[in-house]
Amino acid sequence: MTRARRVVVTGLGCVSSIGTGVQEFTEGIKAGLSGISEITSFDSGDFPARLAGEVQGFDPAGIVRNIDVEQWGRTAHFAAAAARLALDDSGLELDEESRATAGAIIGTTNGEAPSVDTLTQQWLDGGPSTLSADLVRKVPAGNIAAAAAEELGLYGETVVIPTACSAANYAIGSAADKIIAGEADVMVAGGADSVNRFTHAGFLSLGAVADGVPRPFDQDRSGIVTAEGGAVLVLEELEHARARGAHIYAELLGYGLSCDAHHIVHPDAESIATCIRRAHTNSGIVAEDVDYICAHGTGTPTNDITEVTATRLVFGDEHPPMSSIKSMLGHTMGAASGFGAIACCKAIEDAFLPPTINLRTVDPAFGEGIDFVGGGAKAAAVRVAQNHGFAFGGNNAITIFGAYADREPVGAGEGPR
Amino acid sequence: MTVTQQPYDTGQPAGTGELRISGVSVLSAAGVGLDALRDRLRGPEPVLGGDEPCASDAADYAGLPGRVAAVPDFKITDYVPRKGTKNLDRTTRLGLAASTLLKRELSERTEIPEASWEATGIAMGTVVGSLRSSVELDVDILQGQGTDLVNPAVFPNTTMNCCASQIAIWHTFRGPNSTLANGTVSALSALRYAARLIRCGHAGRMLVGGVEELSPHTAWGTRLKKEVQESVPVGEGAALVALEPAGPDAPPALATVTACEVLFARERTQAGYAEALGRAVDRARQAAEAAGTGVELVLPGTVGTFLQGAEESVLDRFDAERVDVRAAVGECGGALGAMQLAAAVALGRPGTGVLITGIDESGAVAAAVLTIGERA
Repeated sequence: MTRARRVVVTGLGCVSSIGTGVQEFTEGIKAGLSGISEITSFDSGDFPARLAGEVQGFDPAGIVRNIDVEQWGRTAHFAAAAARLALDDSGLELDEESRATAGAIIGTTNGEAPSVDTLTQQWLDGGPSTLSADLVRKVPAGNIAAAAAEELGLYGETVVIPTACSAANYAIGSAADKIIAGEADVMVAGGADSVNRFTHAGFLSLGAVADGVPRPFDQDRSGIVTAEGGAVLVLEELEHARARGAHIYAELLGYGLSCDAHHIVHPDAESIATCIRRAHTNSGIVAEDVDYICAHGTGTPTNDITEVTATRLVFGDEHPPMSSIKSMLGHTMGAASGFGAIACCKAIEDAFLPPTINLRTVDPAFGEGIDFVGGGAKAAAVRVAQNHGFAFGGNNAITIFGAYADREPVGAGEGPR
Repeated sequence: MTVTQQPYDTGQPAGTGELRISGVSVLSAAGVGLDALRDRLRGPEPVLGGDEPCASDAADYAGLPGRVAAVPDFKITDYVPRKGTKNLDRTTRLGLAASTLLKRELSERTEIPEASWEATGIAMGTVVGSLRSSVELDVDILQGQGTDLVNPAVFPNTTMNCCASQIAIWHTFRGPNSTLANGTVSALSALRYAARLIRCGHAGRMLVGGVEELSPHTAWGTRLKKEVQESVPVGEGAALVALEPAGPDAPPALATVTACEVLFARERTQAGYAEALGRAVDRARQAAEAAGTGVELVLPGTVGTFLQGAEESVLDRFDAERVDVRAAVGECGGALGAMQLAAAVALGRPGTGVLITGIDESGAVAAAVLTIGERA
């Protein structure tokens, strides 16, 4: 059964440690740039790990046009700026009718955590009555999508999905469902997060932070590097996009969700495999159709072996190339699968595989026959790309992107071919 | 290796069919259960307050304007066994208790196979998760050296999806596990999100609602923002409804979800909020009319806040009884919309419609209509 309404990606926007805007970001990915640097956003002197993927010199006022940046926190700034860049990239000129149904759905892990860090200091210094009311107003997580909607002038359904490190995939999936269901022709969706003290310390306390740069899939990998940014896609109903002659990066074929219901921080391979199969079914593809996997690939010993175990359950020995852009960006938390989505769209459009940098020796525990793209980006035709997002609480979400051409879709949606 | 596709069995077909509420659970300052909520809503002018959830917080509440109102005598061990509860934050405890009550209530009324429970998902509304957990972790960092005072077992409590995830872990709910943040309309956003998941074939049964914990941090934040009148106590609570597609095997419905609209304001002014809520209410009313449902009860979401005027300007067009849920349970953030859903089931007359509305200062607005079932 073919869907009556198909969803295509017509705009990409991002603010990242390796580049602002899709062009700079893509050039950074192709060049294998590292966005990892010494932490400057808080005093990390007491911590054994002092690296993060911060967006140095981020100036939201230089990107946004409508919002008053004073009213919003850093994470909302990332979301609004990425949304602005994505909408500009799409070339969409929204009329009032489109604005009334278009909305912003944004994922996050920590929301406005840097504001919470500041409020905590105020509480300790002067007691609760001395908290800044203006800062308190920035804290509700819903503000992150609200800032994006206000920036773009969208009056449709707007909400934040704070399902931690898979949140952008949840957001993209739900925004696509809105279009498929006929609730909207245009949606913006993605993720945003900010580097902050308590997240850095929290992951350190779990023993999950790398003792240097992130080395996903390496036998000597030692953990994540916390990072930040905003990544947003413009999703558009196919005929709406065609009618205006839009540039189409890729088609969003579908997505899948699963929940481990097992442990709050330890991932579960069987549940991830279920998520992959659900994503394939929802996308109308089979495993053999997948040409590239943009891994969750955090670089913790546990994540990477669990992820490969899961993909082996689905793909067996015929395993597509799989790389981790977290090797370059660090772990951007709720934005991570948003960046993954952008990388997948560009991999399809420009026919290349994003690299896993810092990869010296592939962990032999992964077995033979998987290309982790450790030797730098390389040319390859990518018709279908699978984008992983896993999270604390076992909240798994996977999106599938396919090459769009003026013909039958790669997948048909709603059931295998 | 041959790879075979697993059919994606949600237990229910996708489609545009009717979605029903088959069960409700609620914990609030009014007490536990629908009867306690109904008594408070229907009782004389409610007197809330004086209850603080934890005696050791007394110093941090000192000087707080207005009153606070906790869920009375709440202990998570009244709902689940003690083992594994030690490190759970209060947000998670409240949500876990609500889910336990709901599962119990549904199981008592209808035989539900284990596989159906395993396919169950969650859509939980929250403003920002357990704010207290984030602040306390931060305090441990600032007062220690590096992470020497940080307890890794409580770090996950700082993530906003902790409550929904823990519910899944405790009850083995493997369906879509989601958390929605949209201020005071979070739970109505969760309802809309969950309905879409079901209609698009991603889920069967979803437990949908919202949760908010009372802590000195949220109480001070609420008072310092001055957006809620001081006469309204700062409350807390959790409420969940079971949302399922209509079908021959579905349990009898307490209510049908006739409409649930979530929109965003053109501008964050009284006129902007009112315009957006007006659009949401118009759509909800059209759906109600199409379903032949007459709205006899309105549960507004902004009485006692700075947004009351904007909401009233929209609700003026309804000649129906109004009940202020916030007055009954206190300001309870992400749980408010869930309290409104529970109140609709508690108060609504069978066969009639209940309109639920809400506005959040962020610009998000929501309007829902429940048609109350014969057995509510």
